[in-house]
Amino acid sequence: MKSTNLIQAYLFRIVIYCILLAGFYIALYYITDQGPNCTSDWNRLIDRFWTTTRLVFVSFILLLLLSILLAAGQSFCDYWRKINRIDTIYVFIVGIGIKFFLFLLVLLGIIPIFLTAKGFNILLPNVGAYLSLIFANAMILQIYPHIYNELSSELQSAHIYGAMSGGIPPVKTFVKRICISSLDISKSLYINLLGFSIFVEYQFKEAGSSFQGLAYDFISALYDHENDWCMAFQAFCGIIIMILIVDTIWTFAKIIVTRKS
Amino acid sequence: MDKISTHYFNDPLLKFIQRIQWIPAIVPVLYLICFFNPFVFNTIFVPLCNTHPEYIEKFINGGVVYILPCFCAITITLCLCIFFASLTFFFQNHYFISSAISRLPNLLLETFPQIFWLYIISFTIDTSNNEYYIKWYIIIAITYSPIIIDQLNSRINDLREKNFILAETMVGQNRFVIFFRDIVWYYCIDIMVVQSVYLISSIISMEACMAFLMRISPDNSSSLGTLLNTLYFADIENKWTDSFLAMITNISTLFWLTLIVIISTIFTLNKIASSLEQKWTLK
Repeated sequence: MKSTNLIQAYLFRIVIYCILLAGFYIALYYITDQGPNCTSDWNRLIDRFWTTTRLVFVSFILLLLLSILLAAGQSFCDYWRKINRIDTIYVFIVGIGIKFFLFLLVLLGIIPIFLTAKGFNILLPNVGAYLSLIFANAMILQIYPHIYNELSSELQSAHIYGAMSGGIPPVKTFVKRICISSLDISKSLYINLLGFSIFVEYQFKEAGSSFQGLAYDFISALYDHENDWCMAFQAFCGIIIMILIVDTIWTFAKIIVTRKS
Repeated sequence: MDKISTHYFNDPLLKFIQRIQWIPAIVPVLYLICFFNPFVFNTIFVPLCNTHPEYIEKFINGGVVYILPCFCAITITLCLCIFFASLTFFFQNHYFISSAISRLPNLLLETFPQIFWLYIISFTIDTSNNEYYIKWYIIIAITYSPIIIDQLNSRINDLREKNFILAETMVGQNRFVIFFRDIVWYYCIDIMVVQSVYLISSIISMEACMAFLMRISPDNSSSLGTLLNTLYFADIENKWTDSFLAMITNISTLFWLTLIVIISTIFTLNKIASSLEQKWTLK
């Protein structure tokens, strides 16, 4: 994608964010009958913002690292097999090891993960929140094949042999490819994790988790405070701002990568 | 396909692994047998479950709730996806319509988390009648539409430059006929079938998650997700138990049975979809 197209798409998304905010604000007139009356402190919103950012960002990094490790492991096995022709070990590692791990991850769906986290009260609630956010959604099943496909196409292309003969170490080419492929999916992954934080922040509150961020505020406004749409609007603003910041960083990073390559 | 992948797919060990992935399919089949012949369930499972008969009835009839809403949700979502994907074909010379308007659902749903959308919308649905399920499932299915729209768009973009499509256009064939017969019917039906199966599993898992964790469905509803929630909170007063063992022993067997049925159904549907996808890709 060209950088001009990226900027166009970014500007279009900003228009959508503005429409979403304006739409919610106008909807408040119809829902509350009295118009928006946001009594909550806006400074509190900033604290909530950082809490959610901390939770989502750390989970995002850990999930990305896990996917990269899995994809790199499988690509390495492919490469190893191509050179050494050791079928049995290859099948054992790739066929059983990684697939079994992925099978386990799918098995630990969101409900079993929450049950396990609730059952193990000995587990630190904050650690439990991180683990739930990482493993409870099946995002790893989308990220891992994406990075693996990119890496295997790099492995089969002439680039890597050209780079090696030119004196550039293959690790550098691999790292570059991993970074580019991770960047492609990072925005959707971040937004997905932000969505799942709604479950985690609300469910882990009772266990004493310190993660009471925007998602918690949002669900609490509608559920605990019996449809307090004004409070929900404030949390909504915070979420949109968070997404906007992530979107801006992502677009700039993407533009830089596009121009360099 | 290169040498490595051909060898990889023909490996006997991997074939065995592929086959054992069908094992979870036994559970939905057993569940169906129990539905059509409750005698099996009454003799084997009811003595084990030791719960209120009302819950057992809900468990047996819970699966039926999914059929009509899932059918409606898939039909409406596919129609919507075809409509948005058709814009890239019919308005290929108008950049704004073909790139921005056709991706509008994707932009709207990708810019804001799906679960937040579902959560906001759930508060606007009237949950007092049975039509609630149909609306709720349609909304869940629509939030998954970006994946289908993206796949259809890329397929249509590939096809519209092909010689046979260009030839038909030049001969003067109706563009609607070209689109619906030559593109959608002949070349996109595989995407739609595979994605429909994925969609059913996504609807079931999302409904179960939201009903269990957020208590969104009404208490008197009869879906399996609501049953999970009811059984869990009926058996455990304090949500955070002292130990894992205490939780396992406190919750009734029916809860675990329901959970196994949900997870196995999702597994089986995903396996069916991935097998279909693999077969069509190889063709």
